[in-house]
Amino acid sequence: MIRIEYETQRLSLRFFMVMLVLFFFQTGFGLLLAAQHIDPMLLSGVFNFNVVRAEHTNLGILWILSGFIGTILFVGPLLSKRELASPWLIKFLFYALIAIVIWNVGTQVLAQKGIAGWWLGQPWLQEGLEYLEAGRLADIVILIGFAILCYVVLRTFPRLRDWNEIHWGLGIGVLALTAVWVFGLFFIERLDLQEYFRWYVVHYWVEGVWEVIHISLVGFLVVLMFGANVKTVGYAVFWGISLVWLSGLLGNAHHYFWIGTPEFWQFWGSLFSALEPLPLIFCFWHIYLDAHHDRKPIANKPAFAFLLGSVVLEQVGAGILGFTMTFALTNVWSHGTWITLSHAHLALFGTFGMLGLAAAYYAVPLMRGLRGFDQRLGTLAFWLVFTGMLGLAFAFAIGGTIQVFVYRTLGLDWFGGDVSPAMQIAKLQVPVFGLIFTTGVALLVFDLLTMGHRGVAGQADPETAGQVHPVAIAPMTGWRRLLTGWEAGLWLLGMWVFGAVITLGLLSFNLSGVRGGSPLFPYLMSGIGYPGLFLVTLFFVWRFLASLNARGAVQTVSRDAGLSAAQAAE
Amino acid sequence: MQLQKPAVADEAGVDTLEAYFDKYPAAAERVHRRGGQVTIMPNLQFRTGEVARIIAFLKYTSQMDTEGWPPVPQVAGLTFPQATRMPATAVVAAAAPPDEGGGEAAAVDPVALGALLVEDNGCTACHSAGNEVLVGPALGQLYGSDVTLADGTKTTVDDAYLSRAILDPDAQVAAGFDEGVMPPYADLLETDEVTAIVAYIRSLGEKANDPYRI
Repeated sequence: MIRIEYETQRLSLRFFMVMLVLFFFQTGFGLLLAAQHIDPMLLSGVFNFNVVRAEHTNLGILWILSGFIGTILFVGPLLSKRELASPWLIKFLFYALIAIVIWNVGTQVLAQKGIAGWWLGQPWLQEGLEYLEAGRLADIVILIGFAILCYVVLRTFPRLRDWNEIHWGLGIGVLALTAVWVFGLFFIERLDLQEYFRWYVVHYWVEGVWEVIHISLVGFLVVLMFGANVKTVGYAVFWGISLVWLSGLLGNAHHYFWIGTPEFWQFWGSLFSALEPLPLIFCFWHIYLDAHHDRKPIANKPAFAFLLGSVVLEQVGAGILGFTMTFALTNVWSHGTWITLSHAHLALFGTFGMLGLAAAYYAVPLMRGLRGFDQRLGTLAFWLVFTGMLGLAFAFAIGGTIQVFVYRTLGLDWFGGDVSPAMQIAKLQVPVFGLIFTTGVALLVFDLLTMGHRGVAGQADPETAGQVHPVAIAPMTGWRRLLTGWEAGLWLLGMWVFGAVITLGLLSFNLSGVRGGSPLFPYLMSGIGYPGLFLVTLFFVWRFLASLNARGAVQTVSRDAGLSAAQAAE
Repeated sequence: MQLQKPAVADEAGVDTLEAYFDKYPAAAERVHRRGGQVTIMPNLQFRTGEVARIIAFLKYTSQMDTEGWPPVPQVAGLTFPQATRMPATAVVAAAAPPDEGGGEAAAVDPVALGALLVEDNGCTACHSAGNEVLVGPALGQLYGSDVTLADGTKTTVDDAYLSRAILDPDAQVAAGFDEGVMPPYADLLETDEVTAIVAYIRSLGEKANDPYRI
């Protein structure tokens, strides 16, 4: 493994640690929400559902941003071949982040008491906007924080003419991150207009800016992990970013469907947002190519597993599930139901969350100075988290399909007590998969927090450094044989076929027979589409990792031997 | 209760609950489905003023242009064999408008408003409108009567006594009844609502022989 080259890279460690702690608490709030769905009176009046939900969504954004900042700080010096500019500003940024977190978590409960903190026409303490609940005071500190991040990144980067595509991606990314935030900084009394600008922040972030940062960071992590050519990766990053913006800037209009904007957006938003998966397919294809540009074994399996998970779930959660509900004719049914939850969980955690975790698994052992680490815990955590999240997405999707039918088609209402019992079968699955997910989260948080501090057993034991005992490595045949581009393409096609089935199922809610009261067609389609999509995803990642883990069985042995020799020499 | 207010009645274009349900069948269906059925909505203890503000907010949001969303259900009775029928009680309730609340809402009559408030706040669970003593004192012929308090002093039941008994019941507990049984309503009722309830109780005392029951 490579060593830390620049001392200021170590500043990223604290951001990764905060990320892990926040992730753990976010998961805890998620479990509580699942329990409240089953028993709506649980903690009612003490810790209301909407408050817990706000904590859950806010912490999600906060830990993903922590992960972004940590990753950017870690790769910044490597990209620039010099130390980070103004380390003291980064330390300040860290304390600002902690303050924002405490403030955000602490003030959510103000919504329950109806306190907004009005002064000078602005809600200073709590503004009650979904995802952006923290009041103006926190907003301004966040703006300053983003400005610091921009300053540090741009000051650290080399001169403009030396920038490659990754520099451009990250540079544009952090600037746009700050610029888009400004739309959340003013109060508009008209609720629909305020919502319109709230969407600007939330969705230009996740569909525009964060995608750009994601593509750039995935690109550079691939360079670090596989020694892929920066030029080749840069080509992918350039086209990825261009396609994100060509499709996403207008595609974002799929959030204008039902908020009083002109109706032509229903056509244009559907059209352009249907193109949004294109850059994700590009990214997906590239991780396949870059992971296969040589046949060396993977040095850090959990890091690559999470990186692959990030790209694959971006494809499935953001690309395919986003595609199914992006048309006005499907969105009219899915909007505001659990179907959206399925997309949101898989896309947000999968794409952006797993990237932060991949970067942490890559960077933390290096910063702790470990020559190797027991990768079994991280690999197990990956599988628990990955299957747990796919299961959650499945439960949400099935619950959502029932919800659309009972609620939108039959017109039964929540107060009549009909919708909740109908969804009960899905509601019970949520905590089951939630517990699998939480176990994985607890494992990986424990693993990364204590890595290198766990004493002899967990530490750099050269025998287990390659994590799979050499004897256990099976030959590259059958399930473990080399994954060809043709086969990867077929897997991807399989995902999209099931995605098409889901889309048709959602479209079928428009059929007069379904509207007349027969759920057969949409239930059948979602009953085939969702399990099919998630199983193909699960098996594809299994197949991909099995193939990569099996390769270079011989090299693993010699590499381990080399490591122990190096350690013996020290 | 909202229809008691002329402004609300004007806007709705009806003056009785019956007419309201006729004019707004969806509202009628919702009200009837709620009544006596399972509901998971918690009991939110709003004041009348707060209720009015929430209604105003919901009206504001429902008037927004949502471009035809959400789609209007087109189900007109499920006919295929697998369809489960609605529970009989709900069908009957939806079909037949209730008798209560019929003719009492012609104007803002504090007595009628008080009667509704007494009903809505569940007062009748403990206080009968006649002479029967349940958990608390009966309300019939209560007004103007002399009452002995727990501490032995005697007083006459008048507006001030009744208001205080509603807002802070434990201040003057009548002899023979326990302290701390009735919750204070100071946080739940507005002043004009208390006045209306007192007016209603007064009306019960004035027509003691009337067989009127809530």
